Amino acid sequence: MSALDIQELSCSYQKTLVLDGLNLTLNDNEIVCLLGESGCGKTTLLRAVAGLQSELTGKISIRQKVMNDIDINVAPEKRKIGLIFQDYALFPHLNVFDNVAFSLTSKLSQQQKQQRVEEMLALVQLNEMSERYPHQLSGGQQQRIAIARALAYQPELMLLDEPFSNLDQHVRFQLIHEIRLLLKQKKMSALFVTHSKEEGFAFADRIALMQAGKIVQIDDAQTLYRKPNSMYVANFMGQANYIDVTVLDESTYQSCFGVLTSKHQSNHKKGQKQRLLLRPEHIDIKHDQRGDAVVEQVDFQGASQQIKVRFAAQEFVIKYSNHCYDSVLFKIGDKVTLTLLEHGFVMFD
Amino acid sequence: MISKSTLYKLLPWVVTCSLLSPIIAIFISAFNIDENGSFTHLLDTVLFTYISNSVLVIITVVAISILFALPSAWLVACCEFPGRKKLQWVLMLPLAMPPYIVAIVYTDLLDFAGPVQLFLRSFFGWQSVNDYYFPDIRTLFGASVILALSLFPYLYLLLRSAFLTQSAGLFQAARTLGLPPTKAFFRVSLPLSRSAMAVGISLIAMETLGDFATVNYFAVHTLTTAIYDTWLELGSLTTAAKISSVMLLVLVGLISLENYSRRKQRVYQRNNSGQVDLRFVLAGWRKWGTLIFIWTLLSLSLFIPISTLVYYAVYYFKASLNEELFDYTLNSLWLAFLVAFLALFVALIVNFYQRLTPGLAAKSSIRLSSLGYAVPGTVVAIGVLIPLTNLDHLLNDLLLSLDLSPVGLVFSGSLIILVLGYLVRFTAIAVGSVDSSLVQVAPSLDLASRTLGNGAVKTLWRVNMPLIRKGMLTAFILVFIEAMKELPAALLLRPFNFETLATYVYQFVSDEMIEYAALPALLIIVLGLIPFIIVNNLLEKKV
Repeated sequence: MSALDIQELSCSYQKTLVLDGLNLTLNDNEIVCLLGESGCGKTTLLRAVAGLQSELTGKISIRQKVMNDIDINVAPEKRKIGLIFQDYALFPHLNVFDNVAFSLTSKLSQQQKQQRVEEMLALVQLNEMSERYPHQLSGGQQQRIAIARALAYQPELMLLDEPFSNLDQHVRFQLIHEIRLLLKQKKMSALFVTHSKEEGFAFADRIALMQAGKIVQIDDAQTLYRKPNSMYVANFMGQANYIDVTVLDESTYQSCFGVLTSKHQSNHKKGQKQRLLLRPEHIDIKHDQRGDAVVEQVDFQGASQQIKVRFAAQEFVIKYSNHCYDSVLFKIGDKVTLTLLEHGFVMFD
Repeated sequence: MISKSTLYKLLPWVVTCSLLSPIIAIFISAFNIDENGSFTHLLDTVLFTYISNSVLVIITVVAISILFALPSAWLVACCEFPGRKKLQWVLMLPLAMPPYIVAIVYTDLLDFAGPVQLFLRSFFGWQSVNDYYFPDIRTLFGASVILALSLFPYLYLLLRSAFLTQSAGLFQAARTLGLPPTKAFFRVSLPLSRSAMAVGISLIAMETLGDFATVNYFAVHTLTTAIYDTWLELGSLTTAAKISSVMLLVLVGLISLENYSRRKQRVYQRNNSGQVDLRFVLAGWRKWGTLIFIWTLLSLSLFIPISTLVYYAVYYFKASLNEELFDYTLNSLWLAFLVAFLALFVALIVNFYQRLTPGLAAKSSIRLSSLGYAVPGTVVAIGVLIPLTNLDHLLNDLLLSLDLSPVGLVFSGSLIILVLGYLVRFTAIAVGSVDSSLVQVAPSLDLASRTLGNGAVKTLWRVNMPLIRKGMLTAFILVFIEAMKELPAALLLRPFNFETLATYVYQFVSDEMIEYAALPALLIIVLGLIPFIIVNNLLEKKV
């Protein structure tokens, strides 16, 4: 059973199309990340699922129950979802206990409520904080309370809107892992919005990259990085070099690095021009007095060096790992040779 | 010879002390011996009634104001209905209506001989008073309704901005956690606005406590009318001061409530850009109910009083348009101009003092010079009378001892006392609005100017002043509006034969001559509304 199913969803805001016939399906117990630049429509999509967005066309179902369709727009309070906000949205006039207990109806006895809240606070490891008010908590603690509040409602689906972006770097990734574990433990499906691919890598099972109101590719992190289906995806997921190649036959190509041979056969026609994707770690670099490449810029990054090299009238970004203590250091003006390491032969027209 | 820098430091304190002197004077003379036993007499007889009346009026006005302000603020902030954008703005305008003018309009309309009862009698064929029941407006409740009609916008404004600035996410969070809109309102929006509510209530309570004209017109005896009567009829300044100090004690309570709530409010209001894109679009009976509620409220507080006044003003235009009206309008205008100018001057002095030498001293000079804002006109009047009559006596005694002829009441018998009284009451408004625009000027700008070779004073002149022009204009206009409307202080402090528009209108009001009061009353309203609209436009266009 799918946790969420979105079909042909469109939304316009002040005459611009924010969502453009978007399709997305979330499996059970799956965490999907909506990744994209600001303005690509990812937050609008989340709000649409939450029932907080008007002017929609298309169909949204949560656990096979239709939430949006022609003449159907289920109110947010009837959707059984947990929404986590960037600014936490804890009620400042209520203490932690009352915030977590907010959604618990009067059908539960006082004791049951108490028990549920304590259970939730234990999950996020903040039992001692139940008397505190939101402004007395740190950002990370506030977000954990927000998670506890949403979980206490026993939602069918969790929606998280840039939940980690207000947090410090070191708290952020700790919390990301903590909450991912928690959601997995509770077998909760979640849709998670962010503009940071690192957060997406760490938090999600699959990542849906959005551009201009559409999902351009949805896959696990590795596939997105290694097998992007467009240059937009390739560039978004990481540093990229491109070289022009000419197809010689189904597995060999002519390039500035000489003739390249792929392990896989392609159906490109002979003589066709293609652009080959080379990630910085696909190129090896060596000092060579007679080399025809020149170092133009070096960033020492601790575990590695990022080196800009001019070769064949083109600039290449190369990642060189500093494996051992006395690893080679490159300087501007050094003569070097470049060789290609094994890679996936990802090519674009 | 005093050096220039000492002068700069001395000036703010001279100003502050003179503005504070009336309040100090009241407390000092409250401990004076009760010369002729009139305070003891009051205490034994009617003082308790006065106090309980004051408290009752306050409670009733606050209750009715909540009834008016809470629904209208929420509807305008969180719902969508035809005309909302215009109406949210018009709902502030009743602030420009002096309550005693609203009072005389409704008395005229609802009295036995008024059009409403005339119509009812002719429609139902009733012959006399005994044939039917009609509520009497000349009661404590009637006075409270009238006061609430012109004071509710204070609460409305605060609640509206509270609803608008509450992070929209909180309301949405409540809804995604399973609450329908009405429940979310009562469990989240309303509790979150309670400090705005408390600030609004304390403002309305202060205004009500200070009201003189309306309660006096309806013959409801409160502390303000008691002060007025003891001074003008019994001639006992000490007794008036003693009653005033009772009032000041009540005020201290209200001010602390206000300050406390304002501080609390900061916790509740995040700087969330308040994106309320999810207004409930009202339809069906909800829409009609909302429209009827808001239009009725506006009719009662604004349209009916104004159109009644227009009717009388047109009908008695020739009789009302005379030289007196012209003279008194001019009096009001230049008095208001002078007071606004001086208040702005004082505000600049204390605020720049704070800017140049930040610290406890400067801060307390701002605080102390603003103390008069909550003090009712009658109390301020008694307060300035005490030091200035003493000053007059001193001066005349001195002249006599030098064998010179006495000059009479140069301070307390002239316009000086009136201007001082107004300043004590209204300077706080100017200080507040200059302060709030000055804090928005980044301190780094001062530093930049100083490092570029400008002295401290030159920096104020070349950098700060141009940047707070809007705040200065706002300060000026706000004081101007208040000074145009001010009645009790003018009644008690004006020199013999000096009338302002307000005292002129009030004279007709107390004689129940609405036909003559109408034109000058309209003038007060219009002269208040125009600057009010200007200020509003200024504040809306925040850059």
